[in-house]
Amino acid sequence: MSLLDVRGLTTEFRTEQGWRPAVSDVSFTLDPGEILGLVGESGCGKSTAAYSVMKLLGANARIAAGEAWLGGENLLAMDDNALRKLRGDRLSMIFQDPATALDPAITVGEQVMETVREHLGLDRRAARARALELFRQVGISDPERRLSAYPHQFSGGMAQRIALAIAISCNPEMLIADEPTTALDVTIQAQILRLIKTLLVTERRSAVLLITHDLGVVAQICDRVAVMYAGRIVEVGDVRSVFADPLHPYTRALLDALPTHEVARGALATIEGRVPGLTDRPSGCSFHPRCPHARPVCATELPPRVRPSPGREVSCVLHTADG
Amino acid sequence: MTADAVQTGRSIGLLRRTYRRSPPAIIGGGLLLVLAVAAVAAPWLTPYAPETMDFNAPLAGPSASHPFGTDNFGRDVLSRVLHGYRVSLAVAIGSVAMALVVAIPLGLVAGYYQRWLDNVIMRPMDVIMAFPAIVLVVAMAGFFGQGLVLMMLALAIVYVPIIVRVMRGAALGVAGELFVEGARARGASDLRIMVRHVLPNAITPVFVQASVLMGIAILLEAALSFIGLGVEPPTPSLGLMLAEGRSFMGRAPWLVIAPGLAIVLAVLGFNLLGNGLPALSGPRRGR
Amino acid sequence: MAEPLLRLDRLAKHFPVGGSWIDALTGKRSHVKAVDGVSLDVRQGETLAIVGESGSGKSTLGRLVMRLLTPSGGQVLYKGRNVVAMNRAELRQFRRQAQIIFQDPFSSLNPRMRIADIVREPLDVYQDGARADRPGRTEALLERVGLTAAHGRAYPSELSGGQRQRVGIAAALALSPELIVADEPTSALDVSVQAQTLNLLADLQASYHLTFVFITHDLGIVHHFADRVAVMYLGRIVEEAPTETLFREPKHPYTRSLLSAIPQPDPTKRVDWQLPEGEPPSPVDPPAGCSFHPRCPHAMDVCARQAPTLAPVEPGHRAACFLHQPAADSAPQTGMQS
Repeated sequence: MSLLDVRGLTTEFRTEQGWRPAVSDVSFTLDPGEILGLVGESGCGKSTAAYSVMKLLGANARIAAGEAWLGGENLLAMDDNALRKLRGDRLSMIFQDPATALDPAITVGEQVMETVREHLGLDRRAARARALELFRQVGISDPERRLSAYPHQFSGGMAQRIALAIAISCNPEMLIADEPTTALDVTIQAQILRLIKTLLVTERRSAVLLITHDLGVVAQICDRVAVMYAGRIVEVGDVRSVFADPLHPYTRALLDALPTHEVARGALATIEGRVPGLTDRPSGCSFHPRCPHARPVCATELPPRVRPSPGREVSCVLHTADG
Repeated sequence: MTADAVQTGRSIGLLRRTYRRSPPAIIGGGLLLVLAVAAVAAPWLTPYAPETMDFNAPLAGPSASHPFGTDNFGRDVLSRVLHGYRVSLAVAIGSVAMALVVAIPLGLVAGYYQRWLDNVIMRPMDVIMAFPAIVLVVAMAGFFGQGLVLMMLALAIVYVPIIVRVMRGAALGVAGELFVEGARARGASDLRIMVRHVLPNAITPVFVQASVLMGIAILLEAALSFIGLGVEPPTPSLGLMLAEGRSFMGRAPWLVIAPGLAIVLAVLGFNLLGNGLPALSGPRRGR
Repeated sequence: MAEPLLRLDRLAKHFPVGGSWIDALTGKRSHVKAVDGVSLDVRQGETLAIVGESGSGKSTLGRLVMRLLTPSGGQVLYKGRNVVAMNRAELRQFRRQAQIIFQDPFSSLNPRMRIADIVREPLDVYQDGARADRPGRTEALLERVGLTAAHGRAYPSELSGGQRQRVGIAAALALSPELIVADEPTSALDVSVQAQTLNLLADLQASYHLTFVFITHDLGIVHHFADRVAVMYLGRIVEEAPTETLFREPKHPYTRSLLSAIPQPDPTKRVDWQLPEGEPPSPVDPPAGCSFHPRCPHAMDVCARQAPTLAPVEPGHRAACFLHQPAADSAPQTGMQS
């Protein structure tokens, strides 16, 4: 059984023209020990979808429909107190900017210890030992000394390690990682990704929902991938088959736009036009104005969700029985 | 529709959009506009001149003919308040305008060039700032003597370092922006960069500060006149009215309530305007 | 061989850090060697990529070339003339021919100017051509980068990231420069927009015979775009080679780890990342000897004592590593770090 089962999630934002969906009818599942990549360009709703599951939305957003089942509980129907407890105990998050998760005025040691004391009920001494152990696990050298340092004394990569230490401190069943390496150098990115894989998946069999715009990152560490465009998931599948044989024209275009060794100069494939905003999303399939395979029906009707092979799903008329 | 009507329609539309973006700015600005118009139109708004005494009705309470009552000489309080606004607003606008003319270039240059020029400009400013404003104003009023223009000058001298600081800080921030570096790389001169790139992006906090300082100017004018260092009687001034009305507070409270309320309204107007300005000067949008 | 268009000769930039003016007078203030003795040639019409991670000094190098910063030492020779020694008038003429495009399309445009005025500004600054022609030329520039006259009437906040980057490119092109320094021009953009922008730059280079110095952290783009690559680490160039050679036979261990760390968009080629250990050291207090040695899997005794020089390993391929050159004081010994 899946650990997380999101069904029909729709999240709306308040705009000058009223409430508009940023995320429309998004469904996906996440198994224990699995890394699911949620990819798309900026504004596609990938972060909003993940934040909705945690009910971490601002006042200008609301969840209009959907369920998110974690075990036997619907997260979207829980009250805020129960959810807050759950967020620390069973779910955790790391962000693109680790500084957002760290209090600049408190030493990082205190912050880690506070979390483990609150959620694991440890006393001070045990909490300190646990914090030291966590620091070692995330590869912080000289942890004794680093415990008493403040967040600003760490580089971005080190701060992300500390955020990760806090995130794994209570052995979460699921981690949501929102562009955790986007602000980091490639060598540091690789270190952090490797840590996420070993600490969460290998050692804890936790599930990871990795939000990223980087298809390279997806290819390297995800098991499955869900591609989002204009608020909808357009394609889901295991990483190998999606990269080998992308079914949705948008997925294919994204992969073709990557600069790789084989392509000649000045010949990168591009997607004409740009991602539509919240208030100017096209009718029918949102991608149709930019799609090289668009047909008249694409402009008027939502494409059906098709399962061409086990584990794969695509929303495109090209793959319907008569398509 | 006539061209005029179209024009009016557009103006109302603009006003409505502005209000939506920043209610305080429109409320504050509107309040000040009403006060200013009332001050200018004072002779037509009240049948009495501010100095006209009516010995038959000293200390008369509010009535239809004297909405705010009369003072101990039987002068109409409404008329005196409105004329008092002329002094208040003149001092507020005059002192801040003088200060802006001097302070904007100084702050801009200090913030843009930094290093030694910054020190040359800012250290004297620190010296002026070291004195409490009211002490400085009182000292200068004593030194320059009394009178409207001299009072403006004294306030302006107090205000210059305050505005220079705000201008410098904002210019310092904008000078580090990438588009400033870009303009320099494209050959723009320092003067051009300061005027076209730094100033427009750094001026908002200066206007906010100016608005607040105008409100404070009204208070300072009142305070100076109250202690006898400001406007001389019989010119009506809100501070002077407070001082004179003090003796009759028990019998004729309107003598202090009216000018007091007048001061509050004007200061409120300037503060609201100052609060609302930043929201209006967000990223620019086209037509 | 013809004289290079641009030659950097032992270029250095040291920033003072912390300390008061008293420390500065007594010489106690420490310095970050953001750029520390960089020598490079850029030939007319080629694209040289400068690749490095944050703190490598690559952006500082770009600003030194443009003389947006004054070097602490060394020379920038443009067509044989030293940019560092230019007076105001000469500098003005130099900046006509050399332009820079910035990474961040959000802060690189003045939010209070209309797009057309931004693109047109260089023409006004240099009084280039008749005033009456400038609106038309501005429009032509906008069209050249794929924007319209309608975009020209807008303010920067109304455009997308990709469109703003095009505005920056149009303004850089206004005076028909020969050299363009592009400082991470696509790293703030989405993949599809990045591809559009790279294609535009390649297209412009071909039609105007531009010379590019392309500063980036993204080796993936480099492979696609550059003729030659110089890899920077802590203010120095550690390796320089033609692009194909660098990707095929990287010599410096840092280049190798950088290459292996790029996440390849191919799930069938999952790499076992050969990662350098730890974080890059602080440029305020770089390690003695080769600054990469504490993270290097091949470090030898000599690496901690002596800094290797950037020396040819093959024609056109230089590397600063004792694995590929004899150390001055002793033969390289294998074995190793404590």
